[in-house]
Amino acid sequence: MPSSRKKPDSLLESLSEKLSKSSDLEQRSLCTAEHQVKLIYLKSVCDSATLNRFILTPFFETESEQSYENYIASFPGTTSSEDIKEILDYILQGRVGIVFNSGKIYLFEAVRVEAGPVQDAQTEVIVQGPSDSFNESLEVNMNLIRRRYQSHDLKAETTTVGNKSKTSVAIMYDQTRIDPDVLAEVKRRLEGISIDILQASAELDKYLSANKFRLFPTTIVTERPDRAVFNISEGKIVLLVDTAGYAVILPAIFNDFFTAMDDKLQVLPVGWFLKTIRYIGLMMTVTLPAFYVAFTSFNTEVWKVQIALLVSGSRATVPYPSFMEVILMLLMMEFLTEASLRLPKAIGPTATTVGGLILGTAATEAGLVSNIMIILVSAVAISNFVIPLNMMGFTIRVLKYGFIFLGTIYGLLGVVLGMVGVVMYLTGLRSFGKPYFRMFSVDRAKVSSSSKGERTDG
Amino acid sequence: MKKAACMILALILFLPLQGCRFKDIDLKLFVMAIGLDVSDDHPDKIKVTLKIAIPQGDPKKADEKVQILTQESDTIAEAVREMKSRVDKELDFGHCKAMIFGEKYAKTSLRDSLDWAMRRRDIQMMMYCAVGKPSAKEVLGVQPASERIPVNSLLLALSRDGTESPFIVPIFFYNLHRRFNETGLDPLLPVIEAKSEQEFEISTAYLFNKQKIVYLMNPEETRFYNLLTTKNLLTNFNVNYNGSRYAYNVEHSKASYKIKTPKDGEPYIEYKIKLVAELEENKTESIVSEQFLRDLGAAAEADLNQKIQKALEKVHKSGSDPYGWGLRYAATHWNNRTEFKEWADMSERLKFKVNSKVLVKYTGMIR
Amino acid sequence: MVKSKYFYYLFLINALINIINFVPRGLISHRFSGAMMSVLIAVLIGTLFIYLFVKGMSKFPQKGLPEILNENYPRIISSLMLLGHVVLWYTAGLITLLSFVDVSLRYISSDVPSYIIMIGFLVVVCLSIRLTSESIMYALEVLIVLNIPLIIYFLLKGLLNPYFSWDAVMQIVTYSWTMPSYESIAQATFIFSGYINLALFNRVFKNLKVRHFWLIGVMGFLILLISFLVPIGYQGTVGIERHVYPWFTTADALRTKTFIVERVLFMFYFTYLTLSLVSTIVHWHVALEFTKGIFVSKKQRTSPKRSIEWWIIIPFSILALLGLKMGQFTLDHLGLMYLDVRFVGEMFMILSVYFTYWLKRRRRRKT
Repeated sequence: MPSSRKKPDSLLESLSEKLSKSSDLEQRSLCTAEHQVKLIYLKSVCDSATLNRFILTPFFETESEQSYENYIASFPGTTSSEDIKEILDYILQGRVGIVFNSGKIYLFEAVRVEAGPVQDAQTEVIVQGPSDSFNESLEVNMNLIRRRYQSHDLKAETTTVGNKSKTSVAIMYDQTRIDPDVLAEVKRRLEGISIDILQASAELDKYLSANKFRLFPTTIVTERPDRAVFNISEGKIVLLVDTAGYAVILPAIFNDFFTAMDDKLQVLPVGWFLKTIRYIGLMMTVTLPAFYVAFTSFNTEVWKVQIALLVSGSRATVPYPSFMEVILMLLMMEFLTEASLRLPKAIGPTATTVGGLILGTAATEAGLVSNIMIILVSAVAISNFVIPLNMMGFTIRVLKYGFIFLGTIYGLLGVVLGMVGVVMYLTGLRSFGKPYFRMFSVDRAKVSSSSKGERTDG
Repeated sequence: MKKAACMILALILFLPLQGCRFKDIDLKLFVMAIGLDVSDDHPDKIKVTLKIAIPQGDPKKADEKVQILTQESDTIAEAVREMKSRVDKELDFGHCKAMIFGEKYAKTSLRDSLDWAMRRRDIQMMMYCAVGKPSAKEVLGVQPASERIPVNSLLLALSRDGTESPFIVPIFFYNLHRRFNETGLDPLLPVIEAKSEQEFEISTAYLFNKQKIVYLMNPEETRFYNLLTTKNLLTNFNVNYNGSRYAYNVEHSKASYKIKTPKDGEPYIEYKIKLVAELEENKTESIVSEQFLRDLGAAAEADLNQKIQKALEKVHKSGSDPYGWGLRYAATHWNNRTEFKEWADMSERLKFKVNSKVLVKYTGMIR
Repeated sequence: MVKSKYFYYLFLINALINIINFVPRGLISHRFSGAMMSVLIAVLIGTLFIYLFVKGMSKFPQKGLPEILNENYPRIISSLMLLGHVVLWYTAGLITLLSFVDVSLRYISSDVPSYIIMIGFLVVVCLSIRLTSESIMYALEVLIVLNIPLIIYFLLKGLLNPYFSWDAVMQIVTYSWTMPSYESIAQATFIFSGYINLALFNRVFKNLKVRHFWLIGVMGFLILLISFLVPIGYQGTVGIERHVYPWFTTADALRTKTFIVERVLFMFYFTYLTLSLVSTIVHWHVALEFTKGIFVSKKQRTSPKRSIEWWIIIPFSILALLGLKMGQFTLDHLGLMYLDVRFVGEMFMILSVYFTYWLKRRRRRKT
């Protein structure tokens, strides 16, 4: 290991060599009559105002090199290093290397963070309650959580993920409520991640899970600090990713995906009602299309005779079998959702109107689709959006095609098979060792008492 | 990736499974009712009539379209099979809600048709059964003006969902089958009489022994049957009191009976009936007083006791047991081997006692 | 590790599924010859068996039968015993599947070939039995809790129906003093034999404490009475013997007016399909784990590789597909015979657990 103390110039040379062909590399020599230092930094990641105020100006005001060195070293964010690789990492992070004549190098923190202000939540909107959301800065996000959870038990450990991106990831948890097994498991898996670039929290979620091919999300990705804090208090772990505006909460169980943050703000019966509504929505969106196929093509005797005649009459002009009809219309609906999602806000509503109203009406009038079908597709689409967390919403969107497939082959029987299958699949899933799906999931009081790894729920 | 490829492959392999016998709802014709008659020309052949609903595209339009198919054959199954070659779509019995037996057919035997319907998987137990007069075909041909779904008016009448007439005895298919097999309980069927092209009347009922029709209950007996077997029957009765006629409307009714075998004396069946009623029609102009209501009730009781007793005796004499007295006797006696013999022995000597209690509680909206 | 409450689910799943496994059929055929008495005796025997077995297994905390046998007996004996149990458990699941394929063909999917239905069942069942025992318990809980409200609804609907004949039920009750046969007792005890799954699931119970044995007895008694008597109340004491699936015909006799599905049959089917799939999963899971117990290598005491599971599942599935060739009557006989043999198997199981415990204690005292 080359000792930098002896040859300050060679150190600077090797650094500039590593950072060559970077137009934003700045190397400066500061000279007064008495003393002289050299600066090396990347101007794109350093804040020039900080640089001017805390490095340049004081330099010309101090008398000796020694007092300047003392001054620089007194900053909380300043470190000193001798390892060239480490120095390089610091510079890339946004620190200014200050090389003294003695050969000692100080790394002064002058990082410029381009993060917007704390904004309102966009993807998980609630009616009442706090509306701020995480932004792209790790510090700000930790601040948002700390402010809401003022306990010395709240721990925040930091590691980095990504060979090239070197993204810092903070693991936050309440040490009295956490299950140590889960924590160890999370740390083990975090270390095991070997990727070049980590940019989004959802990515982390993907790499953390044990089973790559799975249908249901086992971690919650949220942008709401209040949800993160609530889950920390329930003994869960929150992962905050720098540069990503979302937090990852784990372990997550099925029921968590059907909790909106304002459920707790409601009076109890209303809260229950809202939760029930969501589960009904879930059942409807998954099974309605499959039931339609089953009842129109296999078990026509299930319906009341009035409805049977109605469906039969409205299907009289439809030229293809019921499952094609369902799949066509559902695909149209998916296109609509996708299209209005990516469109600029000004055009979005237009697409919905054109697609939803005109296409729907025209298709029924042309006799290509039955009336009942249109009602059904809209019901399916609406009830899909009842699910508060998007990750689950997307899963459910995919799941219903599986049910349609089963309904096409087996009719009513297939739908039941699918339901049992999904329940079995869900109960077989584990989220970081925790059962994913149970009828009566862990009640709150027991979680806090089960501090030392003793899971009372068994 | 490999897994995904495998799954897609599996899905593609699965697709041909579906399809071969996949029949959409618009390729099915719903049979709403079956009628069974004896063939006019060949007395040993069965004439099967199917009433088929033709679906309407526009639910706002009120007109109904019906197709009536008739076919004669040796067996019902054969007749249905032959009818299949006369229509363009698959006949579906899943919605068949009524089975009408022609009067002539009912007089011979119902057992083979019951057997056929019981064996078929798609015919529901919730089918209403009735005897059609003069023939099943004519009853099925009736199209009331108020009807929007084929056969619906018939079903509404038979099920008490729509009109709640005290003269209609609703008999489900499973009930009929049970009555044909049970010892100590005999079948009965309501009679639907086709009055014209647009009107039918249901007010009487046929009693069967295990084989054939034995007795026709007139409207009053039918109403009494319903009163004695149904809780809270909606009906009204007339009563003569002090030389003028009054009508009261039954609000609550409850009837129960006990079979009594006193050691010294004849066995008898004692009916207890409790009615809570409301005065509905008063032909005199006098104002109704409390005492008057009480007297009216007493007069009604006496009237009912006598009439019901007569009706019960008539039914009993016919040899049919639609009330299930025999079954009740067996159910309350533990001497399993001899109970039915005992019942048969005492059946001839059986007397009836009716003990009714009529409480005329309200006078209506005026005194 | 799961809580003790899951034991009740194990009991409930068998108690509820009896309708599919021919228990009502067996009892109904003995309805005039001792079925009622055998119900009473079965309640006593069943509760006693549960008590004994739970006590017995609690001597071996968190151990399943394979471990218990393999540790205490020579390899050959333990393998043979396990094999015997595997056959019993496998047959239990097989009969549920086969009779449900038959029911599906009759009532729901007459258009789909039977082997395709069976493949569908097998895919769900075989993928599920490889899950951990805990997962299966969780699934069991979810599906039972979701279905119980529906079942209670059917029951209320069925018992409050005015066409339900209490006389017919009472008539059967008056046959209570007839001495029962071994078969009818063995058939009736099936209701209680959910406990026997504890032979495997004892692995995952954390200090199992079963309280309220009397509650299990009362529940079992009620369920037995309901599954035996309700069909009789609808189809009559004599007519019932003609029905192949007494409970499905009974469900067909019910209807709801308030829902878009009018016939209760379909909701009933829905409920019972989920329950019978779960029941098969539980039974076959036990069978699978026992089979794995046979192949445990004696020296290392490690369970065999997971890939071996497929080599067990494949013959399971092939046998089930071959089972489809059975006719209705063969399946019937097999089902009833299984119920009889099972009873002996259970007694043997309980005895063997106690004997093993005795053996173990004696050995420990010697050393």
